[in-house]
Amino acid sequence: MLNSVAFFLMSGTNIIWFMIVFPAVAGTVVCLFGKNYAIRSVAVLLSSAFNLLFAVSLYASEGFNAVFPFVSPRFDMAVSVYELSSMFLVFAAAAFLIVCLYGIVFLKDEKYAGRFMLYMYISLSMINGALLSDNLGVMLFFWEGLLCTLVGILLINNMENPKTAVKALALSGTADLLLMLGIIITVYRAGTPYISQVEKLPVAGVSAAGFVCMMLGALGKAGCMPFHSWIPDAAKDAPTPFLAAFPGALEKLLGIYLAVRIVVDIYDYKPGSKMSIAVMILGTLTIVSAVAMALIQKDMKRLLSYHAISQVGYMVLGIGTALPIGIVGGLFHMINNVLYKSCLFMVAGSIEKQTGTTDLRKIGGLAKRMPVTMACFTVSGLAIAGVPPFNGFFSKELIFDAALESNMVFYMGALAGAFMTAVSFLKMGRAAFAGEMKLPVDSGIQLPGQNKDAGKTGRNVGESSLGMLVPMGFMAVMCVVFGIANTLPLDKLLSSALGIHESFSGWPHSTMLVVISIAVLLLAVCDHIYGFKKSGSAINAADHIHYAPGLRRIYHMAEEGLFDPYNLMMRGIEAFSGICVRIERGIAWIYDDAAVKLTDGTGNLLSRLNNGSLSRYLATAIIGTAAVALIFLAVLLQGR
Amino acid sequence: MEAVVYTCLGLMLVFGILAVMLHSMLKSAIALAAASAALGVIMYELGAIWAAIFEVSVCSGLVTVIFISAISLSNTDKKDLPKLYEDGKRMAFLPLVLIISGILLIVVAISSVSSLPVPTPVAEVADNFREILWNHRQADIWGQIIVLITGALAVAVLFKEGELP
Amino acid sequence: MRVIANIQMVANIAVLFFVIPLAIIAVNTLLPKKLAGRVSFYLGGFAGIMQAAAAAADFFLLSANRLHEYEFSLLWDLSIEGSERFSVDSLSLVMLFCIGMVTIVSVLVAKQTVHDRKRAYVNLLMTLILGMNGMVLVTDLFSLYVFLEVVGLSSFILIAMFKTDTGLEGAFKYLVMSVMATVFMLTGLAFIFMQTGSLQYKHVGMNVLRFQSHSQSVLIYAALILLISGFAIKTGAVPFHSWLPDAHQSANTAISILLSGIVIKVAGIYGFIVLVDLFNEVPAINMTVAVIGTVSIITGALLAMQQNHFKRIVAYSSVSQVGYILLGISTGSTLGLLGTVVHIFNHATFKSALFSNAAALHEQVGSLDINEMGGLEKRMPVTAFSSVTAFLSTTGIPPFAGFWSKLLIIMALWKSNMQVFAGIALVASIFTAAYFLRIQKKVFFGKLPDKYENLTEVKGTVKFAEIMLSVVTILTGVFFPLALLYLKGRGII
Repeated sequence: MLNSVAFFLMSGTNIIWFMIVFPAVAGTVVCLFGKNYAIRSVAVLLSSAFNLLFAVSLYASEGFNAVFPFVSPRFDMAVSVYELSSMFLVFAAAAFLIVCLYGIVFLKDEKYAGRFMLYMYISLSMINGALLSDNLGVMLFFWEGLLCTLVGILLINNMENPKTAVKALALSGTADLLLMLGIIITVYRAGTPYISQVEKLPVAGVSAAGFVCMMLGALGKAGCMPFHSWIPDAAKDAPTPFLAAFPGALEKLLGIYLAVRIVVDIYDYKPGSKMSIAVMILGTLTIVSAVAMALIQKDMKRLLSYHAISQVGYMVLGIGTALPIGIVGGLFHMINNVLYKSCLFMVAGSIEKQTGTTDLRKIGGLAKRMPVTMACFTVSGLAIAGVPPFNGFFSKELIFDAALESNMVFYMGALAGAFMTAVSFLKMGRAAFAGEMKLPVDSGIQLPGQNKDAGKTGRNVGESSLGMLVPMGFMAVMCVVFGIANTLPLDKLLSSALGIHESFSGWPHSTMLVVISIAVLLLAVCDHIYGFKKSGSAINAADHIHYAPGLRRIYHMAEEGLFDPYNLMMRGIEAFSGICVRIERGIAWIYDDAAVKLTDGTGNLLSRLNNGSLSRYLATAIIGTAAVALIFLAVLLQGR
Repeated sequence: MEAVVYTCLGLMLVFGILAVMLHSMLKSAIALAAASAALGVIMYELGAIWAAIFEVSVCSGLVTVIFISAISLSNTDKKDLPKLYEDGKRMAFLPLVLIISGILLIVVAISSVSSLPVPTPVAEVADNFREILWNHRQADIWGQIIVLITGALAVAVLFKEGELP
Repeated sequence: MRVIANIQMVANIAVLFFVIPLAIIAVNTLLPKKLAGRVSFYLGGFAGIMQAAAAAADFFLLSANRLHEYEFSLLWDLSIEGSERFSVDSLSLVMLFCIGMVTIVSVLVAKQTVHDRKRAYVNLLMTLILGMNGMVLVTDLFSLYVFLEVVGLSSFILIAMFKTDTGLEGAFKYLVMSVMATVFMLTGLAFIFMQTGSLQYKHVGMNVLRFQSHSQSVLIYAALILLISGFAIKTGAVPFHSWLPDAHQSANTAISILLSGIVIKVAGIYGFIVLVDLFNEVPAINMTVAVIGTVSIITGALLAMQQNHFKRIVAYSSVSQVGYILLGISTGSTLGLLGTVVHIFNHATFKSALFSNAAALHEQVGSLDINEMGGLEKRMPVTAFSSVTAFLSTTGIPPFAGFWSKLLIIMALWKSNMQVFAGIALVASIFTAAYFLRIQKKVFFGKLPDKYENLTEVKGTVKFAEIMLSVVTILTGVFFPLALLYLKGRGII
């Protein structure tokens, strides 16, 4: 059956209709006719399932290239379906299906659910388009389209205060601008806009600039530094399914996909080169700084969003090594990240739905009330911390291996990241699920100062509905499956897609690395226990790091937003616009004040001279005659 | 010929004095025109034929111009004029004017006899007034006719009092 | 045969330029008083129409015969050696047409603004036309001067004839300045005559090449300085302009139209055209005219911005526009001359339109102080429209007529290597726009004062004049490229 579907898709322009137009149409239908919850759910389920089916069938096929010209020969929709891209299509479709199901349930009673789903579907169109297109220019079009829907979703609930949306637009827009520059340079150097036709370009001279720009653009989409700072803000403003979908899954898929294409297909990117070290530095910095910020967060969504940034660092580090093991590890980590990070966001959403808040200071003791949620959290938390035998452990070990092979420093940075990840998740898990309920019990009496809408009361807190538990549970199970049976993703999917014949599956072959990793994890547990003892509560278990001498000030400045690249950029722009305003005012002064006053003054003076006295008239005329004589004289003298 | 010159000189003097002394502006203007006409004749008699033609052309225009300027000037304070310049007082200046002009004439006559060169005849194709006027300056004749018409109209317009409210 | 007959026709028609006004003076003077009150204006209008028609007919006859000029006389024998002659050419015919057109407008406006002394007005109008016709038709510098005196004399009396205090004052100032101009010009003519022995254009033009020796050149330069100053006084160019606003403001509006619309151009500009044509060997003359023009443009505009009297603003605008015309003349090229002539025509049109507006405002509002007005476009739409048209044409906004003439002048300046003046002329358009926007805003736009609630549009001949001039302005602008093609085809350019 898959073959027949694939054959159908490949005939004519069907691939465009069904992979790119179909999601957008489905989204429109859901938005327009989805007033009814049941209809909405069925429509979403069906359309996402179909999308997944298409993606899988494409993956199962042998792949193909096709060109659909629009207007001119150079501007066309070139489609390239091959193992890597169709694999990403499948991942995207699967993640989309799960997140959308979750989102439908999560947003059951929200008015904006229809609009949200429309944006999600258009995003899916854009992602499918970007993954399919072989033409860099057309890919950029879809890429920018994704930015539009991103901003659209951020604006849904924040029309009056679109600060986060503007920030996301500014940062991602800068990244996209860099990507555009990079694409222009690349196309110029390669002489062709088709990725499949590009001979590997050397990373030197102008091409190096192209590489840097393209790489920054791709990683910026994935949420790497320095284009990351809108994500923690979005955690505050945007609906939780958005977090699971965009920073958690879809954007990473797309960004890492392009980064891999750049490294593998477009540029001749060698291990140990300067560029490789630069990319690895970027990755390590992202890991350490983001996870350090995550450590001190007291809000679940915000904490998770910093982790979403930090995890990108691992992927960048892995891909940056340019070693096969690193690239496979980075990709594997990306897939794992989609699984556990989406799961974690969903857990946060589930808790938010039941308690009305994600503030760790207000909740606690949810273990009894929400056992399934807690189980999902435990699995995905262990996975992200890199505890064997969950999937995160295996991908991290691969990246550690690659990092160590490149340089000790990167390995140390990655280890530090792992340490802090574990610490922060211990803190978060214990604060949320262990201990006593902190939320007030519903006594039927309105407490003074307590907003009725602020949250549900403790008594009502129970397990989430099935519609939310199923996606979460599925993701958690996948974390285990991809960990234990890592042969499937690593060898069957990734290595074959990248054309690497080496096998990275199974237990990590370097026992020393495993021992060190486990030692780090144990150290993290010790640290947590120390912090818990010292501060007396799980939520404050990381305070001894937060308020450590020296670090305290840096944390303070970071919380103030002093390191936020967006703020720095805005300050620069403000200074520039200040200068522009000065210049503009100066010019305006010249023709608003100076010119008018000069004209007016001269006119006034002249009309005062012309006061009606006849003798003055005669005198003026005589002076005029003398002036004429002078002009004559001047011209004659010049003539001599 | 000498007689014509001196007669014209005398006429010119008389008309000049009249132009200055007369009470009526209109009469004064006509006197001035006559004086300039006399001057034109003198010039012609002395051989300055072009100058004579220009004098006639110019003065018939200029005379009118000047007399209208006088009208414009005096129009606003016409009522005060009789008080300032009583006829008797003005006539008292007549001997003074005559004496001054007499002295001037004598000075001019003496100096012209002693130093002025004998006027050389103009060696032009056209030697006489008529020929020059009719053969070379036809357009001017039309111009002067129009100037005269305009002057007449001007007099009619500016001195006609009754029509205005 | 036919061609010769046509040429004879040219002369026969040209004679009309003198015969018609003279005949009308005769008829008008001989008419009984009662009848004259009713008929005078029709006689004046008839003279204007005939003049315009005769000029147009002669123009087409001339160009049909591919002649540049044609000489004729008025009752004298042209074959006498050294005799003077009248001459018609394209330039003089355009000027004659403008004279006719402005005369028509003046009579139309006078019908509503001149209530007594109608007969005298028409008579003096005729002598004024005679003087101007004579100026553009003669071929002798002294005759030019004689007819200039006719123009001046008629103008003084026209200004002064209603014996208002301001009118007499304006006339007197004009008179005094004119006397000065007369003195300058006569002296200058005498100097030239000393050198050439003749003042006919062709003799002067031939002999001007002979001025080689130092003393002779000095004499000629002195003559040119005096003549330029004299004509500049008559034109009202800065710094000889002082009398112009006083005279043009104080006169009856029907007469202001004549003075601003045509008299300053025939009495002054035409003199400049003749001078530049005759003395084009003297480089200083172009520079001097250009400088006077530039100064006039800027100073006139600056002064116009300061005024509050409608007619005074329009009068200062004349000073400024005359500057453009002088710039066109200063190039000395055919293109520049063409621009000059077209701008003379355009200026006659839009300046007449603006003074017609002044007449309309004076009739309906009773005052010409622009500070008291506002929002009149709601009550006087025709006047407002005609005013805006004239203003756009003056400023040189395409496709109105003024755009083309300014374009020609600026192109001519550019081609004559006078780029600086071209730039100034371009930039000064902003000033033109500035003072006209001010006047439009204060008079026609904005809020209507309560006291003018019952105001109505002007009726009768003034309204007709406004509409006619607007139509002429727009049609000239739209069809001007065709006119250029025609002139080129006829070999006139």
